[in-house]
Amino acid sequence: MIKLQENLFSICSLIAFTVLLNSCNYTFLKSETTNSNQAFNLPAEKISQLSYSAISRMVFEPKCVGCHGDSGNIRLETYSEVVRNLDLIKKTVFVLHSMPKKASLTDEEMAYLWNWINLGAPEQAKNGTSLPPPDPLVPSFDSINKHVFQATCIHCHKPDGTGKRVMLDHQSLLNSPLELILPGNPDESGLVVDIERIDEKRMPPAKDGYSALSDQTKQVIRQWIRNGAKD
Amino acid sequence: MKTYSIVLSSLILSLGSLSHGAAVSLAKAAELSAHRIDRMVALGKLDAAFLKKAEKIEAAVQNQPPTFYHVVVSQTQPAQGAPLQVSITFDQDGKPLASQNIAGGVAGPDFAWPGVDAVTLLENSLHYALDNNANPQVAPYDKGFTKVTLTKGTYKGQPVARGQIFSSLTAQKLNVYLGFDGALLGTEFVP
Repeated sequence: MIKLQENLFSICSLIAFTVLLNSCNYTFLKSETTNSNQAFNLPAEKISQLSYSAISRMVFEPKCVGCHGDSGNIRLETYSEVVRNLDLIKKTVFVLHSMPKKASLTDEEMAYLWNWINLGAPEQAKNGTSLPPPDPLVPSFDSINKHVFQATCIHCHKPDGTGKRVMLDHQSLLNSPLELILPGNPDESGLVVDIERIDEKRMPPAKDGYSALSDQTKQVIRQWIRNGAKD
Repeated sequence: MKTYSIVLSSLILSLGSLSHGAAVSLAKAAELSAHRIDRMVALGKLDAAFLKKAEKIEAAVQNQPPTFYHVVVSQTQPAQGAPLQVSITFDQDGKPLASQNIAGGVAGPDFAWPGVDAVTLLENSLHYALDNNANPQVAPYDKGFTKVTLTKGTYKGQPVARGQIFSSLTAQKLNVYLGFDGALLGTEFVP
């Protein structure tokens, strides 16, 4: 009889503790939501233009797919995959601040993502006119640097990083004794070899959780080198 | 006296490297040759067995412009005859100029490295000398590098890869112990 009472007491305590925890979490989430609504205020016109493709180009492709592609992590490459993980995205980005792990979102990117999620993550823009696309990846150093190196590679390839032997500024790429860039010859350029190889030496490295660069990105880098790897 | 000796040897080493007029050191040329071998294999210009069976990298100053460094990468020693070898030349900035298989080589045994390949292990051994070349005790293995060899060894009772670096500036050898994943475990200077 005493044993039964003890068990009953334990179960009740556990339930009470769980309820308490959940209410704390609810309060925390609610407070985060209120704060974020204030912090990420956007003009109504912009909000009505939010669509999956706009958010994908602005946030998911440059900041998330580097790891959340074919690396084995949660995938965020399509609308259905993003929607399936929406709660997790909201929690890790806006509550726990644990994502993106290897990049950071600007205030503007946070604002667009927050408002898009709050709208119910629409695939199409409400007013039918999607936000104009941010500057697309084109075969120039500045564009590749912004969309690829700064978004994915710079976390290691910096003076105090694990990839410090390979710097990715324009001059270092052109002058490297590793022949990272052979203008006019993408096939033998080290940069292309390293992003296209499929073994464990591929860059960005799978062992660190990175996905391979997309075929489109690889083609743009090839084109830039074929054109002479100028600015 | 000890401080004086260290300062003096550092000065001599610095002057030595300046007199070479090269932008990269001997050890760096050896490390670049490891990258070169990997690139040649990736481009299908060299048999992939070279990555697995590499055992030694030797580098010397040749200084016959445009060639500045001559590096020979060797596979494991066969029971008889010379090992398979690749010769690579670099200019003084470390840019590769030419590479060729040295004729007459015979395939040697495969040490079957369980983690990363042998060329990566050799390269990572050299990284220790390159990353610590401001240390007067390590500097001779960068500036006066002659060769690095790779063998299996033990470190704190564990089986490891041992890169042994030789220098023309000291009789001592620098042992660099690496895990089979290529991670640095420890180093020691040996007679």
